[in-house]
Amino acid sequence: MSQSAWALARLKWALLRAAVKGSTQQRIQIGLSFLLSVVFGLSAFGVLATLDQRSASANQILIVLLPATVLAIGLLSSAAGVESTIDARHLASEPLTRSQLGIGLLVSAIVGPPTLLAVLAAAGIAIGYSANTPLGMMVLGCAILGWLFTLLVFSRTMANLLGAWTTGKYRQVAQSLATLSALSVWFIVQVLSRQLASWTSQRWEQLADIVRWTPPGQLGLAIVNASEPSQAAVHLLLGLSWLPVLVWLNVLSTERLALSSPRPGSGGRKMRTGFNGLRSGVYAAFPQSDVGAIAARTIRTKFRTPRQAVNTITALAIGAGIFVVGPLLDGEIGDPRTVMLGGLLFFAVLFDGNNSFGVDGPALWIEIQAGVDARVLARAKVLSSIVVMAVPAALLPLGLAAMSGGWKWLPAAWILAAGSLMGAAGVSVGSAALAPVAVPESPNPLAAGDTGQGCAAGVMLSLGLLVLLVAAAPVGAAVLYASSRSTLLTTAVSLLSLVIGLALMWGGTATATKRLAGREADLVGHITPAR
Amino acid sequence: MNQPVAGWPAIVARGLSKKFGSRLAVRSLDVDIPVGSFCGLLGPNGSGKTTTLRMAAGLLRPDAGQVWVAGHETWTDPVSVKKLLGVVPDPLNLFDRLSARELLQHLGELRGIDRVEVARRSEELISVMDLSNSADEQIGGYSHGMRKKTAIAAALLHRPAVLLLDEPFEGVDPVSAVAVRTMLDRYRAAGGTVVFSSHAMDLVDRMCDFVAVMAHGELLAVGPIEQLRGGGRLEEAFISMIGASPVDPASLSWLDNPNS
Repeated sequence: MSQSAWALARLKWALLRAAVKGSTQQRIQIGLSFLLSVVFGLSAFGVLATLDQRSASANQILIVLLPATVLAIGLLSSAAGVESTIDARHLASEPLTRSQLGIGLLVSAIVGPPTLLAVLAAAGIAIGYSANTPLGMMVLGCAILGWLFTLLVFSRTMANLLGAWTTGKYRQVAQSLATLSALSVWFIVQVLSRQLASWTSQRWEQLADIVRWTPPGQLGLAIVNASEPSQAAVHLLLGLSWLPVLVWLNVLSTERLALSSPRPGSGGRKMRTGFNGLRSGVYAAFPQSDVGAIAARTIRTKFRTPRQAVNTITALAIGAGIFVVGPLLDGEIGDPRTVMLGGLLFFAVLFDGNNSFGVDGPALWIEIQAGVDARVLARAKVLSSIVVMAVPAALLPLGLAAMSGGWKWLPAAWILAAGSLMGAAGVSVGSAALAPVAVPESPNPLAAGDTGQGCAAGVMLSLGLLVLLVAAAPVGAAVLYASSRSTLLTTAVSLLSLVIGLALMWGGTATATKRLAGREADLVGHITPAR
Repeated sequence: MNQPVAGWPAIVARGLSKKFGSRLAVRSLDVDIPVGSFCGLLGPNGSGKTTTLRMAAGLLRPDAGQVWVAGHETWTDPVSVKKLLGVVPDPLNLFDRLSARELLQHLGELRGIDRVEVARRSEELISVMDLSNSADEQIGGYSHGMRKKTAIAAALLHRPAVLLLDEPFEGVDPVSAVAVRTMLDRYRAAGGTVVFSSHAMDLVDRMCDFVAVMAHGELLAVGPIEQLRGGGRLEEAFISMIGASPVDPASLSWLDNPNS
């Protein structure tokens, strides 16, 4: 057992080192992953180490926090389907028992930048809740290790299960679950960010009373009672009691993943594409040109690829939600001007098109080999982004108008929608060309890989959002001012968004074209995942 | 601009080089492949065949040197070259979520071929490749051989002047292989040029009239097949050029007792 576990841990270390010595893109990804782990880890360290001094409810907060982090990491793992650098399927033919494989991959998962985050957070808890006796310190240490191990096993089990299901008969169920998980994480963050500050100590106590009966809650109790070792030891044992079951589930789920089919379409029934006529389906809606053909192909493959379809749905939910769910939660929907927020889909467009070349993958060579140049590629991606998001951009203001009665703000909302669609599509294609990220070969929706691909994509998304916010701020301020005067003035002012949107679309497309012109073959190299 | 330049060979390479890290994959390659030839690119594993084909096709940027396809330089006039080329690379990397028919339709559209003509050609190619039963299923569900045949159909769709095929027959069933060979013979007889890499000596012996042999990134020999054979068999000539790799009987002795 230990020999295979060490062998897999060494393999993971070797893969990470190879990535560090690899291409610039890989080095940036690893660097970002390391940097973000340290930054978030230090933040967690700071908060947890001083929680006792800053809040009268520190103990209750910790008891709530430990189960909450386990739940969050489980949801995130099933949503992001974080693919391990070592794919269990590549080890299926090795003479390893299911336990050796499962435990070995768990051990290998410890090797990597996220461990830094976990260790720093754990150090924060150890300092913030230190006990005054050696026995108490020992119980405290065991409880913290138990929490870290729970996080590891729970997250890998969820990722394995989703990974295995997405290749099997119930792939649609798995993909729906992944989408639901992503949306749940986002919704919880939305609610918490608005309500956390107002929670009283009584509220924390109520929550702590509920979650204390979960194993991670018991670990929290062990930590806060570490100064009374005998009582803490009982909580510790209860907190660790489910780990054998969890490890067993992990071993089973790893075996299931190892025996699943890695290639899309080969694991279940064959899907017919329903081809009819000369220019069928989405092709028929586009003008016959190279730009139209690639835009149509992009949409066709997007909605047939679970990972991309889930990404689009999540993008829409989060993008629309940023401006709509927030006001709904705050009870501001009574203001008829909310209708105009429905047009602000730029985050959704940005999220959806953030890595539009990367999600095409190495198959893009066939279009480049057919003579398509950078200009056509960039324009096609802009066109497909706009087409995909145009329907929700038209419908969302309508829905809000029905809810708030603000029908007279609809023209302004639609103009703002058009501006935000064009602007965000331009910025997203610029970002996709500047930092094309190879997506791991996985049928798992939103699979990100654990060598920093997600970090790189996230940083580009944040930069793109910053550009859009800076560009849109003057229009937003002008529209807000105008909306306090008259509807007509607001509609007129919102035309500014078209000007900004067109400028951003032109700028983004020009940036992408300049970046990729003559380097189309290199682009294919960048978006080809390592095998 | 998108026509072959009269008087030029189908492929010309001068000083073509490529390094991966510290490893030199192709070393200053000079070669002329005549128009209308059926050229076999031979070499052991890792000899630089795939890298050479990818550089010629415009799919991999060389570190040094130039390559011309039908008189157009691949890296300064890539669009003209791509219009003249049909390529089957290795690995194949097709759009898994399209069907074979959709892929052909898409490529026809990108290459500006009339829709009706694309449909006609696609139907014939699908039929010849024995893909009719699967043509409307997603490529992700195809076997390796079916993917290869789809890629060959895609490479032929626009009737290119030059075909670059990397291991085109690997994984293709014998019946389909005969169909593909017949199709390639017909294409070559009409004036097309085929360059393909292979390890199958008998195939190259039977099909090719021109051969280039590579090893360790260098071109060891190039010319008409009769000249390279030197009156003997191609396989013998190849091994004498590459140098056989004798296995010392004393080595690998641990293989003598399986499962002991």
